[in-house]
Amino acid sequence: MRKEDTVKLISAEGFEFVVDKKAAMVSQTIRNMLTSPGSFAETEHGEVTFPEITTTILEKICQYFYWSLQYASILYDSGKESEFHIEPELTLELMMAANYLHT
Amino acid sequence: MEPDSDPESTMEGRDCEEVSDLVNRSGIKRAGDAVGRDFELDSDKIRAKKVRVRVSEASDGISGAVDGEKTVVLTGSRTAGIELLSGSTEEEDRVLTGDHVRGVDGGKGGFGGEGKENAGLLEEVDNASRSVENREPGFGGEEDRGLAGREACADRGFDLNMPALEMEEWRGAICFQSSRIVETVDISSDESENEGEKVVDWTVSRGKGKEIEKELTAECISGFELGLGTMGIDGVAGADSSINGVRRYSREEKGKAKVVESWLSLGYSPAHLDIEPERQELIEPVVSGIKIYDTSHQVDTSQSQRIENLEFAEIPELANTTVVQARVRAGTVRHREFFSRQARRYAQANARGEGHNQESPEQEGKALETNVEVEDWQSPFGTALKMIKEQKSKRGAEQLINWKPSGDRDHNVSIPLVPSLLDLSLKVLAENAEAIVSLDPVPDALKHRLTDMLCDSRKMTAHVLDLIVRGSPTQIRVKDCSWMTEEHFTKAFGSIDTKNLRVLQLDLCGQCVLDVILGKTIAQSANSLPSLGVVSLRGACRLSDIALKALVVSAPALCSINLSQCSLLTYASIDVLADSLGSILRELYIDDCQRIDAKLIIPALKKFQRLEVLSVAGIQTVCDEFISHIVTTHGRNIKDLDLSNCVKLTDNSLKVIGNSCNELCTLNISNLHALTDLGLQYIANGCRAIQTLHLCRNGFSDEAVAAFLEASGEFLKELALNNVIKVGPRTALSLAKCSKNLLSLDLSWCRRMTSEGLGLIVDNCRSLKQLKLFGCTQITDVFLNGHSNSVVRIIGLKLSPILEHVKMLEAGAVLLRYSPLP
Repeated sequence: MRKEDTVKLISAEGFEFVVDKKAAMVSQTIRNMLTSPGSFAETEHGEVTFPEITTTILEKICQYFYWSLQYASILYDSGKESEFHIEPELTLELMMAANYLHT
Repeated sequence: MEPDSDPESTMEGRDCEEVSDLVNRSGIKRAGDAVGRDFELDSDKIRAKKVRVRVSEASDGISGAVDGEKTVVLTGSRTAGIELLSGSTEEEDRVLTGDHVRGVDGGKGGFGGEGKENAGLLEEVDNASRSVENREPGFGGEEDRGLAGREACADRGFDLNMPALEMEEWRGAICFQSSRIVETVDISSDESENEGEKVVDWTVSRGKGKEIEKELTAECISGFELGLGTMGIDGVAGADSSINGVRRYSREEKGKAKVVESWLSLGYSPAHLDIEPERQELIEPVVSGIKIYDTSHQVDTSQSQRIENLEFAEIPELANTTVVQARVRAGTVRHREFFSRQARRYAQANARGEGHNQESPEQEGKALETNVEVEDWQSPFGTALKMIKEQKSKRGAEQLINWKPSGDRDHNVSIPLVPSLLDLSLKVLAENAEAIVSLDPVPDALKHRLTDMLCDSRKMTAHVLDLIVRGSPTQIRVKDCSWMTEEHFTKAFGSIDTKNLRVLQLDLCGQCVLDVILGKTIAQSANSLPSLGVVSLRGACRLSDIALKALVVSAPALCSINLSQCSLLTYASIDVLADSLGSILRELYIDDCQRIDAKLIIPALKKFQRLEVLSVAGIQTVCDEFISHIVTTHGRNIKDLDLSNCVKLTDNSLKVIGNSCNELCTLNISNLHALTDLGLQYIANGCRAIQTLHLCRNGFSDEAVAAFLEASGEFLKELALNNVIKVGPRTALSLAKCSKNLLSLDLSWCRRMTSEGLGLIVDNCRSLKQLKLFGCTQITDVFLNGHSNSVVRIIGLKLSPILEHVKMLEAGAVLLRYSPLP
């Protein structure tokens, strides 16, 4: 993956997740940050920090990004929907993070 | 043979002169009953003749027979449609008033006349005797009678006094599968543009639709007799042609809605004069579901036939069976008796119950006049209507819609909605609600969604309730408290900290909210709910006036109160509200509070100074006077009125609303069948910025709705035309043209809407997100696969989960609907 196509998402503990830009844009918040005409610091470096989101949650979110990208094509191919599994203990925080990220 | 006089249904003493005039003019004759009667009319003179209109056993019947005398006697059963002319549209009363040829179909090409509206008529047609012959245009001043008159036939030497047997058979052939059939007969009206041609149509429900409009030339008429003889032999098509000479006036034509079954009376208000009386419909009865065939008049009948063919394509199998079954039925006189009794019963029930067309003659007459002429041609509605009429007169309605499904299939594939992470996690959370330890960090909007999901899946429990009342909550929203008992309530609310509570929603709380409990918990003392702005206690059926007063005393800052279905409340509670909250209350919902008498609350309602939302849906005592008082007081502030099911309201209320409520954003006038196009005109001219309009079972015509859209439909976001059955292509055109902001559209049960019309709408209203089409089985895949709007969600046509789509547009975290909560 080329650097220009990726974005780094940094969790509260400092873990860095490098994901495709396209995947990260599934989140409206990130999309706005990266594409807005004004210059966010994030746009310049291609890094976004989330001090309220823990690592496990952020990891799950990244998994969701990729899942949603291939949802449409799986649906088209097989007619069935693929399932995104969420561990119950993560749900509450995941829900709030998802709410924040608008995803 | 049927006896000449049917004692039950003889109606005499009606204005014989008038009737005779009409009858003579239109030359109606009922072939079935009056087989043996000669019917002669001078072509240029109206001669009074005795016309006996009789009820045929099969039910509807009015048959007219000319006895050669001078008086006209109309006999008919109550259920029978009188097929005579015009003007009167009384249901039970078969009076024909001579002013208009109302029931007569005139119109171009063939069908029609004013008032020939949707075939609401279901008549039992066990025998063809309902057909009424119409006279040829040769008649005094009436043009376009269109039907082969007896005279014409007589002139040609045909003898329509067919032996009973033959008639039986013939009738049989025309019978239908079900006992209720709608036959519409077109009698040309005065205004018909066609001179001297005929229209005939014998629309014998299903199979015959193809030939509904046929222009009979003189030659055709000659074929009439022959046709009759071969009636039984031919299949559908044959029968059609042979029936050309026979006509029946459908009841609807006269504007009398006759309903064989009350639910089939599709809201015809008697005054439903089409502004352009061109349509004719045939309603298919019960057995096959209800299909309405719209046979619009056109000078060019081929088009209408095309349309018809389209619509009939779906029921080929029925056509085949009809003939056979018809034969079987032909001989059973006793069936006819039974059906006619049944039909009468239904018609009466309908008269009592639905009140669909229960207008008094004067009202109808008045409405008649006013509908035909728009009050003010200069108004936006008036100009729009004028344009529409002109447009319509130039070509047939169906031609107006030029929409072809887009050939590119990829275009149409709806983008599948990927479920959002938020939704997915909410779902998992709802499933595991019992295991949640704390909901404190969760924002109110999400808590609301969670509790809604739990209530929907009936998993809401006291545990979750505890979680949401913990701490110092700002919002407590439980949309379904039916699982809650008094103990739950006392426990949960006994010790809550209410100082920050702004929103309290405890809907369907009848079981748990008792006066005493409320007093012990929430409404403990004055000012115990200092920030409470929005409260909803729908369904609190054990809440009395006194407890409400206690609540109001504790919550002095209330801006919105929803007391729907609180059946114990009386006008005293409105007084309480007005006294304490008169200056701040913005929203008041008292749907279905049957003990509140509308007249008694007028003074209290006038005391509110900032009322923006008023909902009095379902309160039967609401009348025009009430609306007039309230609206003139609050006119400038009112933004939302819900008047559904307040059946006493008439156009006068709409007039007042139109005059006073310029800022009206939302209006719900569902199930108000007394409203006519005139009312819609008032709204169109007065409420130009309307955003949400809910119509359901109203009797507005297609043109009126279209004119409304053109005049004031620009800001519409949500439009429901549920069961406004006259809606059709014209409305589709106007929607496509004017409603660019439309988000949600409900066209359920609008059976005159075609696939092309829908395609046009959907392709042009690009912001449309939700389209409801329940009951529209006439929509085909041509539309479903051919439209090119990938965002719209269409619900109601196929069996598919709809809950998430239906809720798509529900506002989430809205507190007050039209202003911020202070």
